Amino acid sequence: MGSRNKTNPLGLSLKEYDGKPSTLCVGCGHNSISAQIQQVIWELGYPMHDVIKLSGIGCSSKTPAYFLGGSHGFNALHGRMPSIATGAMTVNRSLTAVAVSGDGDTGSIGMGQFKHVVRRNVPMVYIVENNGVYGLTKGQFSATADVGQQIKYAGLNELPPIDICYEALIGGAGFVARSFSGDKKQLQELLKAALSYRGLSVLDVISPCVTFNDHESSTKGYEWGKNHNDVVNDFTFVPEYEEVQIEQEAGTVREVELHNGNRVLLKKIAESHDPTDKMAALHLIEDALHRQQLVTGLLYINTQHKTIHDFLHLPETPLVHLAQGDLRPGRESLDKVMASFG
Amino acid sequence: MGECFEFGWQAFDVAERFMTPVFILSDLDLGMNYWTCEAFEYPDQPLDRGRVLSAEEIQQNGFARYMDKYGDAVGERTLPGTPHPRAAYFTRGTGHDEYGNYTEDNEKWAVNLKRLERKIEGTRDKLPQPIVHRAEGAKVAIISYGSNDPAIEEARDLLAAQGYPAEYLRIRALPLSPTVHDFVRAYDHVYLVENNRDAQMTQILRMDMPEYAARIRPIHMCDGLPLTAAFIAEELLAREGR
Ligand SMILES: Cc1ncc(C[n+]2csc(CCOP(=O)(O)OP(=O)(O)O)c2C)c(N)n1
Ligand code: SF4
Ligand SMILES: [Mg+2]
Repeated sequence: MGSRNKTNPLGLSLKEYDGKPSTLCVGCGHNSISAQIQQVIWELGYPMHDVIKLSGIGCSSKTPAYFLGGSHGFNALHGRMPSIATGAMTVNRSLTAVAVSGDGDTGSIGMGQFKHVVRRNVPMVYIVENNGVYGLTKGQFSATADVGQQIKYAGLNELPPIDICYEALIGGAGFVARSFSGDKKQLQELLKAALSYRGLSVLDVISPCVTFNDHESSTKGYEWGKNHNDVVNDFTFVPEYEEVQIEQEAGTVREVELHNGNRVLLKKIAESHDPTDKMAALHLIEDALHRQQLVTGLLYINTQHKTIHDFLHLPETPLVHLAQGDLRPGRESLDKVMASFG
Repeated sequence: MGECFEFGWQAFDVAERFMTPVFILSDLDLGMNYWTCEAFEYPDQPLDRGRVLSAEEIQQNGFARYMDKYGDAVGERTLPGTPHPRAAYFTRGTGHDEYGNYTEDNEKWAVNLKRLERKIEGTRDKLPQPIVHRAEGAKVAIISYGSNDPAIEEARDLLAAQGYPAEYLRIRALPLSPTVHDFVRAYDHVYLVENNRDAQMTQILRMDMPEYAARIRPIHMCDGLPLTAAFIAEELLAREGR
């Protein structure tokens, strides 16, 4: 890769953002997602020590060990990563949180935690590496498996699927996107925007499990992803410092400004989807389910949502940097509470 | 009640000092009903963050997350955001070496588990210590814990009136303090009073000091209500052959 010799705004090479070598199966979609996360964080010049990597349990959740070796990482209990993320991002609001979960980790055991972290709007990039199975435990169906899916050992799935984007939208998420691990470009742009988004962004990324669920008719496989990918918008992330010429494309391009001066440019493709319209996004997902299409792109964005930092009225200085005297309420506060019972 | 408040802030100090989860057990009866109690006291200790290394400390002495560097089996840690290339570590659910790196080496696994055992053992005299109530001319000894306390105090009055002054130790933390072990050793036998069906604390204490197992006699019952002084006193006197 040519970029191996290039350096980022911090003067570091991509290689310096490596983690340990991956132990996942060769061809696993999760490996490509790791590569895109590393690429984007490097390209945007995030110092690794300001990034935290969070995950639960699963092949997908193992991946944070395979990128950004200079960042703190945490494998939470299965499905419980959102609690850890909530704590970490509450005590230190200056960090950037990259969370990797699986369809089992989020859609099955972790659904309760997922819904609440979305509701609390904890600023983080929440990536679900969605393969329709529990890869790590050898290929049982997960809750995102489509009806009628058949796999060798697990048999036929008759239960209706849970749609991660749908759940995120209903739960109140302000940034909801879907992508495919095979679409590097789209995934990179979505990741860049998600990192700049103030709040929780959900990226449901179809990521084939080549060992247990990549046969021809698997709706979470490579073939399906390539042939049924219905891209809703051509998505470009524009960093604050870059000038772009959009005049010639006026009318088809929509610009959304993110809170830190960065912008996303959305070029509508085919039927128009307005990603600021929540009902339209819900409709799009429902419709795609019936058409058996994989809609990808930015499905919904709302830059006005309050975050947990607002809800908790946190000071600008991260709690972790406050002196003890500022952190612990004074003696008078306790006296006042005690007096109120008198 | 005051202890619920104190244990609340102390638990965070213990958790960070020993880098271990802390569970606080209370009683729904305390939380759901109104009680009179002394005003809570303001913490007399500053917050204890435990062994957290700064970038400068890492630069000078290095960083080994799970190594027994200090002889107390407690590791050292760093916080996210620490600007040093060696500050980061990965908290993983799998086997790891002293630096937190992934390993399947069985010897390293065993070394770490042994360290954790020493670490937990090392907390025995550093957690909230038991409260011992002495009694002149004591004939019997009682061990109990938590919200059985008022019933025990009342039972001690009943017992004293019957000519059975009782000494009483109230456990306040697990793993048990050496003071609890000394208390058991000092008597021919002790009664461990608990409000449960299976006498779990008796079992824990017996595991701690199996050579004294027969000396530890459980008085326990569970009917959904708090223990009563009458039950404790009557049961104890019956065991004493009265
Ligand atoms: C509490 C708990 N329950 C069950 C398991 C077993 N388990 C490990 S990984 C996993 C499913 C992982 O599936 P997913 O999140 O989709 O990750 P993938 O391996 O497919 O990437 C399960 C059920 C566990 N580790 N912990
Ligand atoms: S089992 Fe499946 S999900 Fe797990 S590493 Fe292999 S291909 Fe990836
Ligand atoms: Mg999966």
